[in-house]
Amino acid sequence: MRYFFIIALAAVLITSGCQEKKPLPIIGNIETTATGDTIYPVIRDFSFINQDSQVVSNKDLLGKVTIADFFFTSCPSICPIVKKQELRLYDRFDNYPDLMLVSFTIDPKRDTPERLHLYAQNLEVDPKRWVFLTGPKDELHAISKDYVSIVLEDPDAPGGFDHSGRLILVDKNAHVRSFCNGTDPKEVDRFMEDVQWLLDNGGE
Amino acid sequence: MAVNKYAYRFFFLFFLVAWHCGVPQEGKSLYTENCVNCHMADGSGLPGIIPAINASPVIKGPYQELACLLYNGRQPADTIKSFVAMPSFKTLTETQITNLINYVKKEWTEDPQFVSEQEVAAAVKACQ
Repeated sequence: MRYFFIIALAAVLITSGCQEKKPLPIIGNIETTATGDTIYPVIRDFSFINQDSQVVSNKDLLGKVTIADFFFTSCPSICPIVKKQELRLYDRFDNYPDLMLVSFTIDPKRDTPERLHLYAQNLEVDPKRWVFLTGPKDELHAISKDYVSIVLEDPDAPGGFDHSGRLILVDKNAHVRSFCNGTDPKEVDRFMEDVQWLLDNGGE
Repeated sequence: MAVNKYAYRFFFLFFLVAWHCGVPQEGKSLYTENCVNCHMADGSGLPGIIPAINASPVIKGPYQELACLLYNGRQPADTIKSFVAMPSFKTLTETQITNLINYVKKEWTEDPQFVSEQEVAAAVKACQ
């Protein structure tokens, strides 16, 4: 009987440490209307060109879970490290057709579709799973705010652009649900759990 | 005097240890400051975009080639799959280039052949 209580106590203590992951919040400025309705921030409408010179718009990403980042191919600073971490995500979630990686260039002058095509080809990634987008610079820089990312053109910065190396998780309804510092493997480990949670919860 | 004899031995050992610890440490710091962003801390690079150096024939090969690579940089080459240019590190001193070469050889070659500052100076002069 004594052993029963000891084992039962141990079981309670052990299982009390197993907490269910909390739902991911919607990130951004949440507004309330005069009538009391809640408006959740969404990624704005956009239309850019991918590495195969095909149009990709926000409509193409609705219904998909996306992992986004902002980079440029000539980046001598953080981009290679972030791309290395993105490849971990690409490999880990290769069985999820509803997950797409989206890399926006912040240097469309140099990063033409042809250059992005070569870049993606060299990385050996499937264009159906990972798109590299280019378009008008002002629009690319403006949309980074919706993705809680910083992009600044700065001639003194390495490569001419200053930008955060964030990886951003967006759900099927274009809401930002998580982000991490893409240069930190431990933060990416934690971010992977968020991605898994969102995929397990139908992407919403 | 006995005190002087031990003092001399102590300082000799101290400088020996400091020198031994100082040389590869500066190489590691130089690698962290100048190389990690592209070639990664473990030397694995970004395959297809930035070459790995942890199994690179350039690291294993003659130091003259490595010294020139650091000094002049390199455009993307067909021989080593890469996408972006490697910048020139001619702003580094010959001492720094020596320490960097010796660090990467120590990290990623099995039987590292260390080089002297004089050898690096001659190699850099020859590739200008």
